[in-house]
Amino acid sequence: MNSLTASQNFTHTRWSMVQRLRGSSLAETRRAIAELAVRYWYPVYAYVRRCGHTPDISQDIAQAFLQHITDELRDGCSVPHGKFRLWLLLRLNAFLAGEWRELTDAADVDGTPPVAEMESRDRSEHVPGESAEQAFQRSFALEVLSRGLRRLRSEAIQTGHLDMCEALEPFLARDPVPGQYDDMAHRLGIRTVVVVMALKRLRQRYRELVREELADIVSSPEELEAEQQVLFAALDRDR
Amino acid sequence: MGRFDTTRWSVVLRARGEPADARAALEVLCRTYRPPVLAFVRSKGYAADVAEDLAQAFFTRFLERGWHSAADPGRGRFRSFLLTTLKRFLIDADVEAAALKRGGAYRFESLDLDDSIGPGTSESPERVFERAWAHAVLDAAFARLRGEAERAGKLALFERLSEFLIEPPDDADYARVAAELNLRRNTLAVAVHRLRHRLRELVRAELMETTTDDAELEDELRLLRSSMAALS
Repeated sequence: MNSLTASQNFTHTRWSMVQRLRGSSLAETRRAIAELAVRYWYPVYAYVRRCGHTPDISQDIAQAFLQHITDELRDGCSVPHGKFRLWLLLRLNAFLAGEWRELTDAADVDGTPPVAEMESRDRSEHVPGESAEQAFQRSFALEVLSRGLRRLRSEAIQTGHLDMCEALEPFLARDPVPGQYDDMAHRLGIRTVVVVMALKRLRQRYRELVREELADIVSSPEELEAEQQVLFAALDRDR
Repeated sequence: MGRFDTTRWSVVLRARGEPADARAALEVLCRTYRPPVLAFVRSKGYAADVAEDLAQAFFTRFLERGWHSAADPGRGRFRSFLLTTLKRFLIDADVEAAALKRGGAYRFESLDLDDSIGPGTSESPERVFERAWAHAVLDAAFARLRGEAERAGKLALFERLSEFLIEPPDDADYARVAAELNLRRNTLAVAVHRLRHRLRELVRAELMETTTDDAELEDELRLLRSSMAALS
């Protein structure tokens, strides 16, 4: 089932809600934006890291930025147009280029991820020599995939198939070489044909979940296709 | 009107004669970029006092004799023109000195050179000039930034934060200064980032003063980055 090709299904995704509610239910809109912004903390962190700051300081800046967005919306700043990813980057650039002489203390943001987690991702995913904007784009794409994967795992836990899911995970993005299906079957104590079918279903579900993640940050099926292409291109460029 | 039309070197190139504004613009440029000229002369092996005299004589003649009017107004940045003119001046100075008296009026020495600019290293005088140039650009941008801070009544804050501008601070430094200024760490982190951002803008603005188009500006920025890790 691909539930996101029909435009009516975008009604409840967060970004389309933001677009739809513009001006009518500000409190709800702001909540949706703030939730999205915290969800995409990692690309913000990666961007700031590429500006040359240390991990802790990058985390401080990311936190101040996300608090700033929340404050802006609370203070009646107009609700954003366009794509969420571009809006976030635009606001980040504007925030970082702001007036240094104006100091406003930022409170802690709910849902701040631990700096160790951000740093460990940055270490493993960082591509040397990329610009801050490239880092943002790539990290954004990786965040979409990683959120899809987290949901896939959590579904597997609920259905009691975590072992299977973990064994198949490495093959979500690449095909097993000859013999690997048999090895997995042997390890999991099931028939090879079951492993083959399970991988097929897992890939299908992963694709759906990634598209659901994307649906939360766009407002139409056309935008979803375009966003998927842009983000996957950002990952391809680094390979 | 292009955005380079009112930058100092453009004003100088366009005037070519001696209108007051061109003269004033040229004087500012010469004052700002005196250190790289001096560094170049020193690294050519002249003793400190002689190098001072030569640099002084060079700028006096540069301004009085209107050497800038030999620059091609169509293209060329101030840095290249200044260096070319300086090299020619030094050749002439050597010839003059030799003509004055055997042994020369200018002494060559290699023992008492200032470590920071002398040829103790294997760097060519041109490289020494480039490095000193980069420092002069940064100094000029810093001075502008300081001026902005002063006008905003934020000089004390600027003084505390400026230590973080060239070398990225470590977390302990941040925590210390945040405590001293009674600010939250994330407030301080944002202020430092913005101050660095503003410094980069001012460096760009400073480089615009010595160039005539975007291509030159980008070249100059690249040169500066290769000399200054803090700007990369």
